[in-house]
Amino acid sequence: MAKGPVRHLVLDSEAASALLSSVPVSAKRAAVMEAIAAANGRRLVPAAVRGESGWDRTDPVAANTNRLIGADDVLDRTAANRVAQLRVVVTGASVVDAAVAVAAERAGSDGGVVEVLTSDVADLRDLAANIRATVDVVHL
Amino acid sequence: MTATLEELIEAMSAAEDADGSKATSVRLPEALHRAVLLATELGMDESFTAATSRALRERLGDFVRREALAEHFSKFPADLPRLADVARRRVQGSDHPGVSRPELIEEAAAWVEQRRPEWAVSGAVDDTVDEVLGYVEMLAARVGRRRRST
Repeated sequence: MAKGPVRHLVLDSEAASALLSSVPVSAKRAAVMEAIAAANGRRLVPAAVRGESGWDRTDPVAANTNRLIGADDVLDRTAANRVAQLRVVVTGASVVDAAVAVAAERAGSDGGVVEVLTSDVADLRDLAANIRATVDVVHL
Repeated sequence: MTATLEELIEAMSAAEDADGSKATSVRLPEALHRAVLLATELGMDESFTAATSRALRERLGDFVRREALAEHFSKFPADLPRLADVARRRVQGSDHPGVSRPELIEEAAAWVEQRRPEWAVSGAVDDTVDEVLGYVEMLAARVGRRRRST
């Protein structure tokens, strides 16, 4: 159980792709690993991000990644509605970015800071300003 | 056949989705049994079963995280982060004193890392970061430092 500040983590597609990499040295994967090590709360990947980054949990190649981020944020009926609502407010946001924001909102629903690790800081900041959670958007 | 981390993750994932339950017999210390019953009555959880399941889930989750981090950092040593960087990132956006006093995080992390050089590959990431942040709180509050007389 977390003792000090609670930090959750939501990955975007770039972060998920970096984590899937199996090359011996990768600066991006190292940055994602620092974020995972720092996140003592929920660690989520939105289902839409998995689709975009090609993260198939049944593929043996994804075994290492599955261990590190075991939870999916499912794009269910409620989440789909929220994605649609956010895309009305932040018109340039993609479905995947909005799904990341919805996952962040769910992760931070009972407190803590949610780190969103993303290559698209501008859109995610706009989205984060419209959700009910404390979000720290970090550039990958 | 030895169990794998994948099997454990799969079993935990199935446990999230499944509604069914299975009766099992566990011998608990009598005082602990009574303590859980009292805590349940006081509102900690809805039932003894819920309290036990939640505690087991948390413990399993911690174990999987420890093992996964240890395995990854052993396999990819170039991904090893600095303890100070992980601690600083943990508190980013919070009201922890380390946010405004990053030099204290550096100081505490350097000291802890000297004592526990294997902190990441042993998987003890959360305990070690908590230790660093605990020291930072004490340093920020000047606990144990002699005050100057006026």
